Amino acid sequence: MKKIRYMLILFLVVLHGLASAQNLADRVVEHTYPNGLKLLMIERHTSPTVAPYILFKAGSVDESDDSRGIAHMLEHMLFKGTKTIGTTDYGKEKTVLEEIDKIGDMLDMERAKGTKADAEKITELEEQLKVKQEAAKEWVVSGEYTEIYTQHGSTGFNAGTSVDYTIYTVELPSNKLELWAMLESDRLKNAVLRQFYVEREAVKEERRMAVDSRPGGKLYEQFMAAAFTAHPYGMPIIGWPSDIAMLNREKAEEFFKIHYAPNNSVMVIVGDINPDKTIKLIEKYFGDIPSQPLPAEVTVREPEQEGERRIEVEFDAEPQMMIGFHKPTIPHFDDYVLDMISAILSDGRTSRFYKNIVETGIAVSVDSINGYPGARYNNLFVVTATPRSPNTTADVEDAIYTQLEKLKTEPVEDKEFKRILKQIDAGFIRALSSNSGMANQLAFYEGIAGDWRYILDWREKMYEITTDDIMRVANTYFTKSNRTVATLIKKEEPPEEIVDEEEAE
Amino acid sequence: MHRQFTHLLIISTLIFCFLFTSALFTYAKPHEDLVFEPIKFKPPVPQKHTLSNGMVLYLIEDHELPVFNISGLVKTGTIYDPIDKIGLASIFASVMRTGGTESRVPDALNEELESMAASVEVGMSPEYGSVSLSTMAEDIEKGLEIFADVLRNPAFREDKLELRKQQAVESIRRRNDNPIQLAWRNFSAILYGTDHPFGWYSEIEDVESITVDDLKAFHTKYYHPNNIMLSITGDFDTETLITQLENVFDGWVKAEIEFPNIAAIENTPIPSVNHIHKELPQTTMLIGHYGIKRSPDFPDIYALRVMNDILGEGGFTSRLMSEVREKHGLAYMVGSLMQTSLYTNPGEWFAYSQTRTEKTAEAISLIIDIVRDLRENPVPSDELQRTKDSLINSFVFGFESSSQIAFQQMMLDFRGYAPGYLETFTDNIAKVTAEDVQNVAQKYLHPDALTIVTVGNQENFDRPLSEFGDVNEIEIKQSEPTPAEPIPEASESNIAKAKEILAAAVDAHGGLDNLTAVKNAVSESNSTVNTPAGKADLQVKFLHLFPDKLRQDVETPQGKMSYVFDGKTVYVVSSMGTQPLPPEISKSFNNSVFRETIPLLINLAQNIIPVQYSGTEEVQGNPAAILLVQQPSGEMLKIFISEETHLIVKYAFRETEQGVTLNKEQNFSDYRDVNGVKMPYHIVQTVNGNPYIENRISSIEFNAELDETLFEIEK
Repeated sequence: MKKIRYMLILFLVVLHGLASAQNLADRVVEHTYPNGLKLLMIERHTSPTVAPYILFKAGSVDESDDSRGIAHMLEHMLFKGTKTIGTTDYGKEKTVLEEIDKIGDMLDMERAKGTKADAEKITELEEQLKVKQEAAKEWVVSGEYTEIYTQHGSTGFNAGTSVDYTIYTVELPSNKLELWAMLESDRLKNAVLRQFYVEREAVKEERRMAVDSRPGGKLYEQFMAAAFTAHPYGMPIIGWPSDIAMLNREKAEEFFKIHYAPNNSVMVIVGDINPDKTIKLIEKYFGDIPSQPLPAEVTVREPEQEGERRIEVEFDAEPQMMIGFHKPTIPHFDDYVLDMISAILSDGRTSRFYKNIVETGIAVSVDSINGYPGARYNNLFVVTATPRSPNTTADVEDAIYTQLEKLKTEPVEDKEFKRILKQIDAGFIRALSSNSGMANQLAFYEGIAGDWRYILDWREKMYEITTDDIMRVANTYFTKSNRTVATLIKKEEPPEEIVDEEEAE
Repeated sequence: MHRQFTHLLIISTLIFCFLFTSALFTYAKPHEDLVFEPIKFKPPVPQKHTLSNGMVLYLIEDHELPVFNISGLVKTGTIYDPIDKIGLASIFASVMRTGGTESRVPDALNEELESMAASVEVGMSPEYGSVSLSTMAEDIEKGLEIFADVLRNPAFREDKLELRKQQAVESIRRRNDNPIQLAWRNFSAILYGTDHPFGWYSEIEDVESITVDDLKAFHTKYYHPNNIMLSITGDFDTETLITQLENVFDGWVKAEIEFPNIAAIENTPIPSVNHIHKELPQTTMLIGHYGIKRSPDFPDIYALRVMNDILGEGGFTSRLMSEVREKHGLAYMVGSLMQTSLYTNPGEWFAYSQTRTEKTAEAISLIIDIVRDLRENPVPSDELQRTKDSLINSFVFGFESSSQIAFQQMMLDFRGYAPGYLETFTDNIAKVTAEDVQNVAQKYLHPDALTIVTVGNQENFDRPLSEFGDVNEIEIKQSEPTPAEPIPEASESNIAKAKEILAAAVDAHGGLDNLTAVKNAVSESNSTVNTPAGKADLQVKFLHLFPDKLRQDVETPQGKMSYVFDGKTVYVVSSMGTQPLPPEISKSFNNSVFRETIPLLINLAQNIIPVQYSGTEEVQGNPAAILLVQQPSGEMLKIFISEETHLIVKYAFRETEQGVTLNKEQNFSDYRDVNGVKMPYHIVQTVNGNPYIENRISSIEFNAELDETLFEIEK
């Protein structure tokens, strides 16, 4: 179990699976509490284990301009304990934490001045911060919150922040469900975001690892920033380096207060449980958390794209590329059609991309994904590709467009539809074999589509799609003016210094 | 990664009782008052059965969902790669699946499986191969038949091997892009040496040398029923299934397998500090040494399990995570891993971290201190208890699904674990003492003999890396298929001489007026092609529409097919329809129309292409002048012009096909007159010195009535 807090969660593509629709519909037990908390359960007694997940409809898209990265930072901070866990005496610790905040803010402000910053002042503040952080250690029990879970046999204890939401996951032996309810409700009621500045350094390392040292991460970030000019979907979830440098405890607490409300969350528990008892158990621990007014939705809309956007990203790595087309999100019918198109293009060895671009050696991989980077707002249909040398990104791009053009003019064959529908149904059945997989999917659709039954509806819609729908949708969205193309290119070596012979003398 | 990280397996028992022992905390914590019901759980036990051909099965019927799964092991692995063909085993595994079977062409196989939402996959790890089948319960019979077909009768079709080789070459080209992969490859190479299967990695030349025969030989050697174990779970009836399996594997017989000897490595760590430069804001570091040579009844296994969890395998709560990340903010990813090997080798132990450049040395020191502390001091009792509780309490997650349970039992048997390992696991963990942990730390961790590999920007490290030992700088070269031959700098005299030779050649070939009068040419040829399967005779009609369009109509025993080059892309047109070919082939055709004698001489005569003289060589027994020009692909073309007849007698050039660079030659002879232009009627093409195609031209017609649509593709 590595602490990989994956930053991007893309259930939409995994979605081809959910238990044969009726079977699933029968097995989900729903309960809504007076405070707005929604609980979904599936009872499965295959093993004495349980997967309880909580999703908050709060992602990076809900951040304000002066706190980019705070949703993800908060997710990290919520592992630092509560007023009773992670501390030996919160009453005393609290004073030091407030002092740390003050010094931290002054330090950030001074550093933000860049070249005009007072270096002496920075050193002095850094020293003060160090002293206070040392002082806090008298009360801090580092890592206690995670230790309790680990000691009780947890697995998959983690959390993830996406543009749309934040999800907290764990699996436990089923006799430990009450422990979970107690710990999770405690962190909602009494979280203490201690050790903030140390964790902020870990988040910076996460950014260096996932974005700045990884060619694919860098390309993705730049691609999104180019594709969205107005909508916050274009901003990186983790934040730009200068965003992270200005995050503080106050901003994290504010985000927590506004967004982590019972009526803004979905709880899913799948596994060896008794639903009636579980409803009571959750009531006992979460029932007294008050509901609150919901935060406003993002109102900015990405303006229609009026011409192709092309960007290059230089990196010390071999080329790869991303192409994105703007399109509406769920529940627009065209979104379903694009799910089907994505399956036709890139699912399996019979898919069109595989047969025409991978098997011909033009690229080592080509994939399509419908619904980047999120699904709460209008999003992108994305194609990613890695060319095989000596083919270039231009060769691969041509080959991709050939396939997209074909969708516009030639009706999809019946056998392609049939194959995909069969796989959808099989996927529904296979997905039921995993507690955590089901918990993820139910949480996602309840949280983002507004109702887990979207999964059932999705299957029906997929059966309704016609060849004309595919052609119409392909013609509507796969246009030059609607696309953004990002290419990773090898950094040019700096030219060798030419010494003018005469001057050298 | 070069090798997958294989964890020690933690696995099953018959009935679990989970009783949580609470550690003492100094402050009142509400969760400490919780009381947990003990769990009583009797996981299903796989039924073991051996088929008459020696294949071993682990079966669990599970009727919860209408699905069926097989996950199997074959005793083989990438460690059995021949030293001159490193990479063979993994390429073998891919092509075993993608190359189809004797009776199923790849497209049909894919279509058949995917249309029933089933999958058959073949994989390769260092110490075993894997095979799997997944189907819906309604398709078990069909699924088994295909699964057996792939196992028994893989066809290893040439084109799929070529594709896989291209992909392998590309991944070699890209292997320095990812710092973790780069560090890992070098770490294991330093530890084991590049002449050992655990240390070596494949190069482009290895990949290029792999042939269909190599794949077939690998299959013949290792893929026998008595060398295969299958774990089978899902909605089936055991008795029926065993009969079905006996049927699909009927006639596949046992065979003795001689396994190559894998050189045993002396388990003596040699310290070294190694650095690879890469312009990144963060240093990737691997710090470690050999792991453990393990015998099946390895007594330290439980204490080691606890020690590894405390050190760096226990996730959030391990010391590396808690110190390096939680307390110092020096990494996002940090931990350690101890790997044991199945066979004679010790595997490796290493700690890893990715830390900002200007804190690199601090992180390395901290990691080494943490390792030392584990050797020098006993683990505090609460930490020990917590770790043991965690292992015992999470043990149930080894039994979440029947497929996991069956696979696990098969893997334990494969690795030679003693029977009863699972049943006694939690008891054995409970017995581990702080002294045991310290003992294994002292026995297996060697902080004075570390191999350190860093990837990053050494210039900006906080302290010099040399404080950990003499630094060995590793130069990373980008592997590429052989690049284009450079064209030498031309001197004025060489250019002048080339013009002179060229003028004579243009005259000898019929003069510029006659040459420019030719707008198209149609020639017919009796051709012989040397293929790996033997010689093949073909009737070929070449249609040239100058300057840049070409069509080849070929009559083969299988029927007619045409290659159409529209000046940009090559298409193959046959009864199967029209397909574009990869850009690589289009580039080759583009070179080929460039080389066509008539337009080439015209272009050269009109000074459109730079040309230079480059000496004289004997061709077909006579001296010939060599002219150099650059082809559209960038590769150089050598034109040999007879000093006696002034006719073009040979071309020599290089061409890359599917990742392999080949030396090609075309020899021209039997020149005859066609409308005042001299044309060769006998053309022999060689590849790497071996005859490849011989064209005996029977007729040539200029300015024929040609329908231009012959060179167009309906889109």
